Amino acid sequence: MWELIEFNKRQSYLLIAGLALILIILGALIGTLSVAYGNGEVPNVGSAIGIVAAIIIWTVSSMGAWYGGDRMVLGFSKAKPIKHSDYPQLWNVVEEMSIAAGLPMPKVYMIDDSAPNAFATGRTPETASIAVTKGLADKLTRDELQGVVAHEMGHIRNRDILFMTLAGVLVGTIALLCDYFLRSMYFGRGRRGSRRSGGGKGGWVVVVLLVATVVFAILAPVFARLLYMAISRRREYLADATSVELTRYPPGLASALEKISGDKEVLEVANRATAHLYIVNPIKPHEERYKKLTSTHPPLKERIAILRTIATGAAIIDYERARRAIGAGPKKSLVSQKTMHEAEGVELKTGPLGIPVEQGAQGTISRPAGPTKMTPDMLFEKLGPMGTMLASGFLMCACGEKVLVPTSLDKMIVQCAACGSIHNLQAQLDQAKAAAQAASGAGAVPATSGEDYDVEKMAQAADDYSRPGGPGTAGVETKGKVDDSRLKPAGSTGDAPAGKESYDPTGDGGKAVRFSDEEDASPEGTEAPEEGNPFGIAFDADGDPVYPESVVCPHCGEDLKIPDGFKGSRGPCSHCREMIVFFEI
Amino acid sequence: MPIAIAVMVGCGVLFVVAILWFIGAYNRFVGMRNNVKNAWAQIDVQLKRRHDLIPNLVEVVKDYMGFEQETLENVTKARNVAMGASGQGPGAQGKAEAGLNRALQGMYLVMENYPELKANQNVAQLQEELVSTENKIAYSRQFYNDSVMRYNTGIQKIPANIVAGFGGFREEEFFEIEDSEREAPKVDLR
Repeated sequence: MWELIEFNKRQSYLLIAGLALILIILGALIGTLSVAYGNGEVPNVGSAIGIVAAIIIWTVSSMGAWYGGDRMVLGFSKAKPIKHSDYPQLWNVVEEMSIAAGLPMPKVYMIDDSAPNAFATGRTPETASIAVTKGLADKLTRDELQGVVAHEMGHIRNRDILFMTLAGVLVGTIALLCDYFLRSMYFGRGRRGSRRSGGGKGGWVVVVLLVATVVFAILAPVFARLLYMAISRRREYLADATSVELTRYPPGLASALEKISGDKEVLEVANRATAHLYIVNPIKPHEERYKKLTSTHPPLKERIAILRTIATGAAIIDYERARRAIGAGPKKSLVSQKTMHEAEGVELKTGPLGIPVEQGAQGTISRPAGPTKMTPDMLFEKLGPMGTMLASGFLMCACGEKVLVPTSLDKMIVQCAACGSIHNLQAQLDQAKAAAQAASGAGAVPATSGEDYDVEKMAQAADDYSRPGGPGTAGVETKGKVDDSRLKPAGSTGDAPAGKESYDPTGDGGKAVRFSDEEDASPEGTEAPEEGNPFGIAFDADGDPVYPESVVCPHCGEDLKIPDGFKGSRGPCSHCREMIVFFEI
Repeated sequence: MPIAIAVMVGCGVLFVVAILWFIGAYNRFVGMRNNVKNAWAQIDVQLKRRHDLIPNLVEVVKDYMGFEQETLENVTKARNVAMGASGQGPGAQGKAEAGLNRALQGMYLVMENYPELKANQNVAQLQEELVSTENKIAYSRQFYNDSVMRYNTGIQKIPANIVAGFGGFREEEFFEIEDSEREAPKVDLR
């Protein structure tokens, strides 16, 4: 991490020094030539004047970029600062990534455009800002957002912005000077051609100088620009590598890039000056200005391919390995050998089968990722219910319900919310591994096959599998929903989070006690609690319910003691896990 | 005679170079050790944040999950243990936080039984905050462990370990919150 920062700094100093040298030489040549044109002496005071003039122009432009740079860029892009409460998830993601990078948290800006894109700006980590379009914040999942933000934090951490801005200013100044010189040559020649007051005095030196300067003036801007573009592309690769290093989860950024590239919308506020800052070139292939400005970013397909190939770890060296394996990018290493070996052994996030998983928090879905080309069907064939779990983060219970599997799989025993049956993950895993190995030898479950893996497709297929012909719901948010055809659909409401669910695991609809009467439409005809109060619960003066000593579960007949301090309107029977409704609210 | 002088000068130069290298290495270790301390402070901040968020969650969730007293009590107890362990360094806090993780996992799993809980706006916001806090703990732990790895590697390498020994730089502990004995959390099987 730190080696990379140092490496980038050294490279940047060299770049700036190199470009500055070009600028100085240019200034000297032009200056000398201009004066020599007058008096035929070479070298002359013109060299000094030229150099000084060049440096002044450079200083002025640099100061403009230094002080006003981010405000200008943010202004161009119509970015508005946001607070935590405006976009809590985005804010949290930025905070998380700044912690992972060990940097102070940058300011967060929102661009009101539905084309997904993002950029970072700011000359030091302390003064940095990250801007994200509304399209990006809405269209990307949390992991993808993390990948993108980590890429931008990478730019900030590696000091890309400062140096690329300064280099850009240099390139611009060089181009300006050369342009001016060549124009004046072109016009001046016409007028002054006859008035060669230098005459024969050192004439040939002047001619040589003239030729040299013209050649230099033509080549320098081209060379400077090419250098700038090459460095810019390298920095983009490194930022991708840094994103992997920070999140330890390459598929996040990979699928984010896929989503962004697939989006045909044009980012309106991007222009020539700011295009290079964005994570994905905002100028789309179907736009006319595409060809001229494409070189600041490496080809998107390559970036995605590299990310999808990484399987050995999360450090720079692993990114480089993947990059070399596909043959993308420059032939030499992006960084020095010493830098690459600094953080060897940094691991990707992996789950039980060595397949990298998402690091969501507790209560979120574990989405596996990694270079495997297994469809959900294949995984299910090979691994049974574990297969679909790996595909979509759920375990398929025999009752047809999806059981949420906690992310880090610390808990190896999970209970189906609908039918209460216990799943022992460890046992199933062992079975699955044994089966997979028996089926096709070791490595049957490829963790490093290097092929592509489409998480979205797999999740969709898993969804389809679990709901044969049933209406698709929002998926992960509706864990309590039961509408598999094996179970009688119990009047499920259309929008799960809003409604109160009813469980119907025994599949006989009729005996289940409903506990929702706000939006339910129950075609099966179920018993409703009598007068809404089957246990005869009274309410005392404060409005608190007074419960009897014990209640009999209407489903399984168990005697249940009600715990002290319990005040709810319903609760599950600890024997059969059926919901017992005490009273309707 | 000139040879003797040349040798002496050579030795003198070598000596100066060695001293400079020594100083450089020492300063580097100081920097790295401070990085480690700083990274630990970050984790501490996030851990405390989680400790503070838990009572809120338990409050909101209690109304819906009245039957799950045991689970909620586990969480509160684990939280108290973790708070008690704060300030005792990576090893002890690692164990305490692992216990809290387990308790929270149990609670989240049980929360899946109560879909109306998800509908509650407060709970949804709290969930996002908790998700974010867990992530922050994970990332600050990652950063801390990376700093520790770099520092430990640095002070172990030859010849720099001479400087380390001399300057009293000791290896730092990693912060692991995976617990060694995986006990399956209690699930009501009655």
